[in-house]
Amino acid sequence: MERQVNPQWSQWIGYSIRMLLFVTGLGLVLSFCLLPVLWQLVTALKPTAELVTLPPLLPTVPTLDHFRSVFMDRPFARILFNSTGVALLTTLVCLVLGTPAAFALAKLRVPGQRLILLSILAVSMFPPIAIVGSLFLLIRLLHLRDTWWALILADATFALPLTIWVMTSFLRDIPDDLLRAARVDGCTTLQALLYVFLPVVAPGLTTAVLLTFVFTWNEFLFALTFTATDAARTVPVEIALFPGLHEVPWGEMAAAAMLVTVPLLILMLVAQRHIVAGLTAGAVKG
Amino acid sequence: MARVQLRGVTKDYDRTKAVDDLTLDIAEGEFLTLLGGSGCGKSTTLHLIAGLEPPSAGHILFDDVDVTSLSPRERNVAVVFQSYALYPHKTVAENLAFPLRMGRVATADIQARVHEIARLLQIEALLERKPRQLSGGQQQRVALGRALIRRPRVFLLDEPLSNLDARLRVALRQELKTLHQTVRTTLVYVTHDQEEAMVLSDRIAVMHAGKIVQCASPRVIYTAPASRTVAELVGSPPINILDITIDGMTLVLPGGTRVKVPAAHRAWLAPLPPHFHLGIRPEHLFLTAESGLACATVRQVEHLGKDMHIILDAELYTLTVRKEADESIQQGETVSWNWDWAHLLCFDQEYGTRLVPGTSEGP
Repeated sequence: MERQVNPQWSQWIGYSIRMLLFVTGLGLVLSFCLLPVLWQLVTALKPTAELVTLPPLLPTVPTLDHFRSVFMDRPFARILFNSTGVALLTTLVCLVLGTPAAFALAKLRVPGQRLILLSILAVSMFPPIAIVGSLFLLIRLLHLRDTWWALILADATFALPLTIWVMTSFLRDIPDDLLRAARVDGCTTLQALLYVFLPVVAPGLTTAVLLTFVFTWNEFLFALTFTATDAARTVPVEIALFPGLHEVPWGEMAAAAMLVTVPLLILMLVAQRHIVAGLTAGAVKG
Repeated sequence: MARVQLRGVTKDYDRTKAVDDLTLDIAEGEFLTLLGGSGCGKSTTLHLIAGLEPPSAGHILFDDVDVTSLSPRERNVAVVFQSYALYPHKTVAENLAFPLRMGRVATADIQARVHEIARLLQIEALLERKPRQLSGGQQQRVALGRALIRRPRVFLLDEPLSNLDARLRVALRQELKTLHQTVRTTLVYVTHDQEEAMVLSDRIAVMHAGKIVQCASPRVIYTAPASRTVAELVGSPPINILDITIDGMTLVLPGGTRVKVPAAHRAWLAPLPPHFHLGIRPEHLFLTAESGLACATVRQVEHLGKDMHIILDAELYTLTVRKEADESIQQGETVSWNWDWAHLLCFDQEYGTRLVPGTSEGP
């Protein structure tokens, strides 16, 4: 007797297979992204004795010792303050300089517009290692070594072009008539930017701010090169300097890493709706 | 309210002349329309009057005072844009108030004026909404309100109705006319829609390639167009144009049909060149049982209610006839047609300029 396959049944099988593949794929990607973070968390909470042994996979007695020692035995509070300060100030500088520049490039008649935009892009394309030497000389000349300003200046070499590019693409999508309307209504160009364009482009602005902040927060090479003491040293460098001559304090490094990741995670979660709106608004003409 | 004068105004963009040596006088309180196809320079002219762009040459005067170098704010002009250009992050009330706020008007006055304008335009119920929560027609009213609120000297509208659907367009067109009669501000209106221009304007300035081809009342533009371009731009359905050759006292139509010019119109023939373009509006053509000029086949019949359009195919030309609705005319039948000799328009074949019959005018 011939076997009858119920068409509905076969449809259901097809659907299940697709679902299974989707879930597996999703699981793989998620594990790839999240497992290292979880591993860090587990490490941060493990007592020192269990750090280099397996099992146990999970800490038998979770401990906050590593977090305590990060703050007690090291100038970590100062370092966190440096990181926050440098990242915030860099972001601020980039916004204050970059937004008007982007506005001019996107909406005003600037001779050589394309050339300017391309050179800005070119600047951000230099690998940091290629410019770190000459930047070092410049910063020594300006007596800025070991100060926040050394890092802000150096970080701006990639953060400012980034801001300008992101903001230019956002501002370009806003119709020209809006600028004309603002001018007819009595705005100067600057007022048009402040009262009309910035509020309209707020999602884009959030994206630019976050990208700049995250890039600066994570920046390593400049921070390593231009700082010698904890006066201006930032978190990534400090963590890299944790290992001593004879031992690598895995627990403390993990604890410190968690401490600098969590603020970013919170920031991203809070702003994620804006970012998604911002990214799509920039990509799709509305 | 102001009298606006343009004196030899030119605007160059890179290599093209968007506006070419334009001179135009707009009377105080007048409704003037700049009519033309896309790229004719009408929007640029509007931007020049507004002060959004500096002219490359020439002067712009408001009430005999040179305002060429003044900003839009200093000129006290208001503009309504095709896209409305409402501020999307502001409520309707804030949109209306913005020009006043930028002009440092006291808050109490702003409140009063916002409500006054909202009442005038019947948008009081919408004051707390954001522009994206409004329909196209409502956005249009808000844009009008934002322009009117400052009591501008000149009111400039750039295709304000073209983003609306047909029914709403007609309704708002009437409102706009009423509004202008209420506020009596000098108004410059840009459009490519000849019907809007005809209905609304005191005068129409027809633009082509950066120049004004003709500036006159809608009636004159329609009945006595200065050129073939103007004649073809206004009127719906468009004017019929025929290639005519003169042979003694007869006109030769395309395809060879000969039309004897009646004695009463002989004088009309005298100054015309041997070859010219003849323009006849659809309503000046009629079908006749006998003694027509020529015969043609009915290709299509369009009923519009009271009127109808009949499209005729003759030997080498087509004609559109407009007449009162009549069920007896069928597609495919052969009819005889005639024209109204008093309403023929003649245009130079090469330059398109109108050749005024009976006079020696022409190129």
